[in-house]
Amino acid sequence: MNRRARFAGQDKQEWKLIDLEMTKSGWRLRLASTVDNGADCELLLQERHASRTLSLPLTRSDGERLGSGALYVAHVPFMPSGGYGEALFDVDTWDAYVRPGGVVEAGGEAPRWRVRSHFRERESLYAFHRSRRLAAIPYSTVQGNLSIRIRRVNGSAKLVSAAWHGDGVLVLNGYVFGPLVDPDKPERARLSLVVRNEAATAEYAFPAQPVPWTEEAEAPPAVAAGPGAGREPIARVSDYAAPSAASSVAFTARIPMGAVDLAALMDQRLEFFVSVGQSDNQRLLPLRQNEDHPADLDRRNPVVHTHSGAVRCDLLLDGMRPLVRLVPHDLEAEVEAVYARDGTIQILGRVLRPGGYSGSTQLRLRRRDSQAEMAMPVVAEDGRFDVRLTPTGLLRDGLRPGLWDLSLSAQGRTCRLRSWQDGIAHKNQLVRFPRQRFTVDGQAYAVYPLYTRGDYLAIRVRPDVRVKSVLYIEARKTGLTLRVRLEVLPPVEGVDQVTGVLTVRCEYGKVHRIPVACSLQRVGQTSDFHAVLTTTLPAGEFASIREDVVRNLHFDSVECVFEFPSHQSRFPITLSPDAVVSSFDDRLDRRPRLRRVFDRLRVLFYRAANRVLPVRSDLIVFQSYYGNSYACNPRAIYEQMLGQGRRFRAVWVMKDLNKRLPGSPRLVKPRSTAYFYYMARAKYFINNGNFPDFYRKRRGTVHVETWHGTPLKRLGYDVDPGSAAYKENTAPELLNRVRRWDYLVAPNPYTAEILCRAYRYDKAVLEVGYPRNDVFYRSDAARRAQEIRRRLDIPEEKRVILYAPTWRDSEHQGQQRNAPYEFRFDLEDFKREFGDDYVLLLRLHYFDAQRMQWIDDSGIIRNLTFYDDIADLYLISDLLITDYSSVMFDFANSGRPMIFFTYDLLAYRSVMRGFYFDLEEQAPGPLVRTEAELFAAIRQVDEWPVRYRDKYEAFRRRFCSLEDGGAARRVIEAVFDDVGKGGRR
Amino acid sequence: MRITFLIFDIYGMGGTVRTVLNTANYLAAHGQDVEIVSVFRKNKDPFFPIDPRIRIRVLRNSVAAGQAGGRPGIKQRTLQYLRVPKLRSRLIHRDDEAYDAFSLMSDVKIYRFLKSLHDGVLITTRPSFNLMAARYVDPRVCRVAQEHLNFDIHPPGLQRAIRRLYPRLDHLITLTDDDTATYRRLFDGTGLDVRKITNSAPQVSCPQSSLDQKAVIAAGRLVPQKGFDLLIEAFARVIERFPDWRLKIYGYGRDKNALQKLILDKHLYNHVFLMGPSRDMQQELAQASIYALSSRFEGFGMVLVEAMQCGVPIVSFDCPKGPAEIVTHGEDGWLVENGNVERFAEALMDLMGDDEKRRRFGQNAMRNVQRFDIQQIGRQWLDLLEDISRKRA
Repeated sequence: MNRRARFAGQDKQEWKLIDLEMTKSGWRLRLASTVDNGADCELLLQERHASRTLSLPLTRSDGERLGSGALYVAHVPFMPSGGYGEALFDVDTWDAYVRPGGVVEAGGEAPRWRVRSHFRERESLYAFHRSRRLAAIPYSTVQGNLSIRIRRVNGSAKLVSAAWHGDGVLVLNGYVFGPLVDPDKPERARLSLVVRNEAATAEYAFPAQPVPWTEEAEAPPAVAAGPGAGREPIARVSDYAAPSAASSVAFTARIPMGAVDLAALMDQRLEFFVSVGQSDNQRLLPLRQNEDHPADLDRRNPVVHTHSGAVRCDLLLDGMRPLVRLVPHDLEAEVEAVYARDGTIQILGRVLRPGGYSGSTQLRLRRRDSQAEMAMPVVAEDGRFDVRLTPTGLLRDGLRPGLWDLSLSAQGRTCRLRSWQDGIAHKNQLVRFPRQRFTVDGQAYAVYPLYTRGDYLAIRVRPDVRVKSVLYIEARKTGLTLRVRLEVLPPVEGVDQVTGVLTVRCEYGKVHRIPVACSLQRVGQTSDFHAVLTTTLPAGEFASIREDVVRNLHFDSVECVFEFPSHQSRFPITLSPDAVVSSFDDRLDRRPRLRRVFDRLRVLFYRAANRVLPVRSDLIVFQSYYGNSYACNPRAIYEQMLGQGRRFRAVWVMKDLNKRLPGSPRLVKPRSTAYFYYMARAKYFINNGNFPDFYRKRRGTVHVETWHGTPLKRLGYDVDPGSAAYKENTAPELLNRVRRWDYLVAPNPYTAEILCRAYRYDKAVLEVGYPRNDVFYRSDAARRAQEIRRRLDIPEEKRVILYAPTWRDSEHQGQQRNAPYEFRFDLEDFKREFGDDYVLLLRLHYFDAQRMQWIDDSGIIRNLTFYDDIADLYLISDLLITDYSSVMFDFANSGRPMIFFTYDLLAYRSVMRGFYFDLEEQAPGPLVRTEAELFAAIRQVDEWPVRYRDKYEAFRRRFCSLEDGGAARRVIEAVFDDVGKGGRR
Repeated sequence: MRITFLIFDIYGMGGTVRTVLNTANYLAAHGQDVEIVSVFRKNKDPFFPIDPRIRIRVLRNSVAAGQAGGRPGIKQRTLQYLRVPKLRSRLIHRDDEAYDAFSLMSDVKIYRFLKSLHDGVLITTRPSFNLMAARYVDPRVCRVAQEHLNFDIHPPGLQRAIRRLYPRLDHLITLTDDDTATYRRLFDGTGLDVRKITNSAPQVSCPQSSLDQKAVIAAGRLVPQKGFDLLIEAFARVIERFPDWRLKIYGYGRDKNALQKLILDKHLYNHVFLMGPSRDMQQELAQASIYALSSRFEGFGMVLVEAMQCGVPIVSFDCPKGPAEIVTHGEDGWLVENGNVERFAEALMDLMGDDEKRRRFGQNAMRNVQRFDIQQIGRQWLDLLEDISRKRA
């Protein structure tokens, strides 16, 4: 387009969306043009980045005129019967244009104008395709043009009114809106109302009856009211609040609060969901208030009497979500001010109920996700109390790192301290208290008060130094250099150099203590510091331990102790294999611009080599977990091939080039030149993940996808479109990668079916069992276990527990990304209770391991996150604690007991991703939710094999029936025919 | 006759955006052909409603830049390579408060836009834009400049430029009587028409404050001009006598960390809250009992009008220029000697301690603020446009 013309704007027509209205059969658009063409035009929908178009009549309306232009009306039908229905939903995005009507020029380019619009996208304008669960969503692009995008959605549930009836019965009226419900058959929606506490540990379902769409529930339609109801009557894009009966089902639900275990949920908040559909297809929609029409809330707040006291149910709104807050009605205490200064934490407050209370009370500190509790006496006078906590004393008495909730108890009642009366909500995001440092027995802690969700008061205790990120660690001949970003709370002032000691734990129980010097440089006014640690060992001495240290940097967490002038800080550094700098490519990573140049050149080289150089039919590229480890199915297949004495050249993609692998294969670092060379020339690729997107599959090459576990959580297209993980699980790039697979190794028919469906895979599937599980069935398993126990230095008499929690998508969004990792049971409690008999091996997710703050020098708890192969850990573990991780399917081969520590089962199952089967029903071990239950389950460990025999057997039949120790052999036979036996073909 | 507004960022929040939109929406509703040219766009959605009949053009769209996807074109890449978007601006006056936000790239865009105009009315909204309009716009275009600040507040460099270039403009719109007098004196005999059209409040049904929440409210960008450091200091004195009152400060800005630190250092974290920006300021105003304006200087103080619409009494520094124009001392609020923290605290305490007075002031405020109604002010704009078209004819 001519730029000058755009600015002059003379010969250019402009079409503006005046309003957009939802009718039963489609959208009605009214457009204004700057120039009156005097004739009808066409509304043209064009697929973005593609050629498909839909054209619709745009009729000139004679009635109204706007300045020099005219008003036009178009109707976009979206019902399948309307003709365009199916086609409308077939694309990703439509862009809207106007073009003069009746002009069908051959060859000549007809003029057309983009439809300008600016309005806020809203749910009431969505059009749904029920069977495909799609929504067509009109919106304004950032450039201010009208487009329609087609997305998979769940719809939503909206609250219209909430009222208390009689004796604590909450009646909720609302509607469900979206592709899950069919207004013509409301009874088929199978609605129920789910009540759940915020921590998602308890859930109650109540029936929700569909009701006829009443006048009360329906908001006045369209343009007349629009946003003008309360504001300026100008934004005329029609955005009536409640969609009409055409797309939603109204419901009413009765919730007798007496049916909820109020005593157990005291001082918690209940949230509401509407569940649509049943078992397999059930979806939970969070209940929200309509943005434009506030729900009608009954604030009478009834008091319900339970066996442990009276509970008041406060109905309130948290943003858009209705909540019921359960408040103990016999005792209520409000915080008025909290001060953290001069070595004390002072809490000033008031006992609201009983009014003017005088007498002795207790302040309780309860550690979250733990059974630890402390109490101190407090005297209230005329309802007021003033407590001074001196953390130094408390730390001696057992206050330890963690989050401690504060509550007040008197006369056998307990209530949490909170700050509600000033009406300032979300204090957890607004208020920051000064951080205080306390030193006990030479160890420094940061202690500070904070408000938690719901504006309850708590106290946080943590080690004063924590590693936020590791930039790199470089091992030279003379010493180590480690560059990290530290958070120091409160920031140390005027210290730019400190000395300390690094403790590196190695295999076979060896420990190296290396003195370091560290320079600290504060980042702006924050509490973050750039720290560069360098070892100060004489070069000769370092050389003698260098190899040992370098190989074991990520064996366990490295412990670091800093000697500050006034105190000592101790914290762990968890190093991942990527952080270790040992080659040219690693150093290149520090120069991002140069890195990009090299990457680009190497990809060019790869493209050329991939065309020109011949494929080597005996070359096999192995990769497991993106080169992070030597593990899983590729390892098992590789070792089996070695054992068979086949002739082949193996290349392992590996980030850590210091590794020693059997058979001395060529190790290549991802994105190095050698890597690209082998990627171009190899005939076979054996991977348990996917290769990056630069990879172009050559004709004649064979890609064996072994995958890395039996799924419990939904994958790919099976993921709930409402969840955060949906987009990433259905990205077009991902599906492109799937298209490269030639063989898919499946451990059981269940996995085969799911992967094929979720990723739309339709080539060969090897349903032969998992090669990585062959270890359980090998004759030397016991001997290997002995060797592994020795390597990990586990005393003969101790039993081993493996804790392998799964990765939680939701913990890694927004601010939580950098927050310290919290164990949901207390490791200190564990040590005390089981330390004499057990060793606990932690196998966390990479990111979680780096956020972890736990250090233990007693050898009872080990961080083996970066230990190469989890199969080694299976062999020596007597008990597995997991939640939803696929390790359960592998460990089941051992026949040993499992405990499922599913503290967030409700939330994980419904909100995050969704499961393929009912874990509660089919789990081969007990499901526990709290620390107390977990510890009880560990104590009873010997009972589980008996009590769960049937379920365990059924579980193995379903998921492990193919495993017999020969899976690797079967994969090799299927894929390689006669490679290696007859040499090159 | 097309009316074009040139504004810094119509998608932002704050008084200027609010008033420009009030005026523009009013004019559009009265059948005028209105276009708004926004130099920047930092938010996806506008904070205040915009009449769909208004044409909006964005010159530097930083929202679209991140969203278009794919690689930027060869032109963009060349410009980026030459660091044009990073080079400092040559055409925007150096003393402009937001000088750093502009660049050579935005210069090019603004210049091209100004040069593309050949008729109609151009309304510019900040001194640097006024100067550019005076310098580069075709004289056939009627150039209307809005002056939001008092002449004396401008730095000397800007003052010189104003003296030299403003006479080339057709109309200068000021907000207060003082300003009008100053500028009339300055440009006496140059043919520049100086007239006062104050900012206007939209005609809306505001939620009314019940005045029983023990909360003082303030809003604005967190920058030194707004004087929130003074306010926090004053409030520190207040809470000794009124420990159950809270101060809520809405807005964001580069001083956030400094203010946060001030709150921590003075141990005011139980009483003073930096609330962040709010989408619905009227709701927040309705939850407060006193509005505190602690600015060192103001253009007009649009937020006072909004607060008064909600029936909230005012405590304000008598800073140049707006507050004295809006607030009637002793009737709907207190005007305190500029910069006197002690007095400010006293004025706050006076209203905190007297429920009846608060209520009376609130009632008065609601009544007195009606003179800023858009129906009245909009008339003046229509008169101006009539004058212009008559002159043309």
